[in-house]
Amino acid sequence: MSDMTASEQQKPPKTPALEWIASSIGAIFAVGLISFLTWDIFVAAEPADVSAQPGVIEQASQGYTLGIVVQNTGGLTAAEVEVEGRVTTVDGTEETSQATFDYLPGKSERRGTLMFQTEPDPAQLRLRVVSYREP
Amino acid sequence: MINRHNSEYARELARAAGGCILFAFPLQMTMEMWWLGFFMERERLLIFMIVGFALLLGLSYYSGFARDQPLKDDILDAFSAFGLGVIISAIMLLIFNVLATEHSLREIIGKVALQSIPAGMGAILARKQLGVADEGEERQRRIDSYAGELFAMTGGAIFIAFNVAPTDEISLISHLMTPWHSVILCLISLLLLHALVYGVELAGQAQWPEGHGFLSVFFRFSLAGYGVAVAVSLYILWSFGRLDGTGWNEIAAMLAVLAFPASIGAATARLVI
Repeated sequence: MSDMTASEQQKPPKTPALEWIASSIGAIFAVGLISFLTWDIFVAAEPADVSAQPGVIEQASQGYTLGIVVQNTGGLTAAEVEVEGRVTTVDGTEETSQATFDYLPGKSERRGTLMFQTEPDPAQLRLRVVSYREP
Repeated sequence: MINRHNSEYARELARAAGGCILFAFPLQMTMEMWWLGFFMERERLLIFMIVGFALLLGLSYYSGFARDQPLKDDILDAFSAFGLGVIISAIMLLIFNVLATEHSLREIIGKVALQSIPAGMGAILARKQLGVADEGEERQRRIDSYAGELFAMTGGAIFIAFNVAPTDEISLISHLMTPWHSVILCLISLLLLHALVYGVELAGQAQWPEGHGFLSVFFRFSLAGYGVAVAVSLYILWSFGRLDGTGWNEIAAMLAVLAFPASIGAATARLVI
């Protein structure tokens, strides 16, 4: 019996339960992140695919605002996404307005606003993505 | 009894969390880090996570003492530091509204993953730095071996270089400098490294024999340290995609720039590890 207590005293102090909990949480994060990144490499590496959708038209203190949503349904990031809106007014004149989005990550959307002097007619509105580059 | 251990460990965790915030906030407030979180190549991010985790393990091991119970506690420490790194990075990025619910999972995970490694390093270093210096002062530290020294230099170089590596200023400065500026910066890095090795590494090293002459220290530590600094810089620049489509003269200039903070990190590693 005395031998047993002697050998037990030689043992390192017991690891506190909280240490196990904290380490397990860290281990779960590590496994989760690495698994996701691995999955992402094989599944989600398609090129960027960018489109723009018009939103609500509202009157502002100067002119009219058109909310826009740019979407990237591809996997890779698009940088400096340039969107152009073009409206034709009743008297036949055209007005254009541009917005640039610094970064549009894959599977993401970003919001912005185009401004016009005349009230855009939704039926006459053309919205297109002009260009973007790889980051 | 168990409660006492738990409360001690809770204090240690709180200390680690404090260090995590202290060391990681500059990177959490750097926009290039957020961008790299989504546009960095996923293969490189995955490699970075694995390298970073090995670094956390190594830091945990080498900042301990030679006669401590090996490995189990070091591994547990590395995991808990990483967990803290993830949680604190996520909280800070959420508060800064850099993470939002409308972002894709890939963007959120990329941003947090990239921050978690430097934050985890902060957690480990804080646990050792801010901890109570007990009777361990007299014990042989694992870091005192040459392998430990080289590892510490690597860790220090990564830790310091990482704070500026993601910024655009690295390539901007390399554009501003002429080749002559680069050469001078390399020499300054090396000189500074050597001076710091003398001042920091060799100070109070009783167990090192007196016979370390200038050349021995210069080759074994200063030159080796600069080699480590350049290798670390090259790896980080590659990870961040700075080398893609870049000419050799440009790469050399960026290496000279980034190796400067990396050298300082390598030379002062002993102060933080």
